[in-house]
Amino acid sequence: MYFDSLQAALAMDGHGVYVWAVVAASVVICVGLLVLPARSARRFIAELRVDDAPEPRAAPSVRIEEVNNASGS
Amino acid sequence: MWTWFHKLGSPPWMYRISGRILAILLPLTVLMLAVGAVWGLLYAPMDFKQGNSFRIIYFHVPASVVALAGYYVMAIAGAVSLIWRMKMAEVAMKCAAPVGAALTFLSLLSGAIWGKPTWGTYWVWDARITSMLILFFLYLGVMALYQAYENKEAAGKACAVLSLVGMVNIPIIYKSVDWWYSLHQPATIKFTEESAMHSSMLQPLLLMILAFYCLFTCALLLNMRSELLRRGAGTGWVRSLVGAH
Repeated sequence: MYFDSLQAALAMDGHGVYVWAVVAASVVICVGLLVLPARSARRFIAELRVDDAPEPRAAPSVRIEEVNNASGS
Repeated sequence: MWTWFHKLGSPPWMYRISGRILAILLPLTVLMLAVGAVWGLLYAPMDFKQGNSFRIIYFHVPASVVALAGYYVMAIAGAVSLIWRMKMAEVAMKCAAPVGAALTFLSLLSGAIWGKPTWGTYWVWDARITSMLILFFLYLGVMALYQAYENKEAAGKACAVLSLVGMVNIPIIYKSVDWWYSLHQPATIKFTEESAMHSSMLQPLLLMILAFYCLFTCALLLNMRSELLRRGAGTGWVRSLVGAH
């Protein structure tokens, strides 16, 4: 390594704040460039799967006991 | 040759082949970025004039080079979509714009931060910097123009024309440091003569440039896959893909 210690690498003779700020911005942008479109595609596939799923069958509007009572009377 | 060209226009083929490319290229890109960054930041020697702030070069130059190359990709894709009315080229053009904009932003931001310890200021209305800012606005313009149109076919045509007209800015960016008095230093890497850098500094820089080219390709392919899915919603290949997941 060019620097003697981790502290020296972080400080970079007073230029560390500039260099590491650029590194942080680069990491955020690079990760964003790769993660955001992948996540968007995954979400869209999930939405399509929800849309394609069969709808649950509707519950009967009249209770069975009510039907039996009506036929018994 | 033409069979391959026709296949390139097929969304399911493109989706499948891009998935295979990404499976190899994506881990390779991450590895190259990590190795290049550590090499440049911690192992390359310090510049005797600029000190350690010179290490910003390992992010600033790759971002700038690929931001410019990305504009070529966008404009050529725009031209193909105009001339051959190829939908896949229109998708590539639309998807290249946000990636190029992000890299141009990184170039401007890293340049501004580098400017403070080197020139004593974050910003000057210098020819190189201003022409890069115009490049950023061109990318944003293409993105905004595409969103502004309801009719996506008309949007594609308008964006293709804008990206082709914007090509005039590219040689201006390249030659700005030669044509005008500029604070910005001339090109460090030259193809026609020996580079101004020592090989111990140059090697990590070349690796980072290659890594950023791969990053652009990965981001473009990921964006295109997302766009192809949206455009193909309801078609057989997307239905079978959703069923398979």
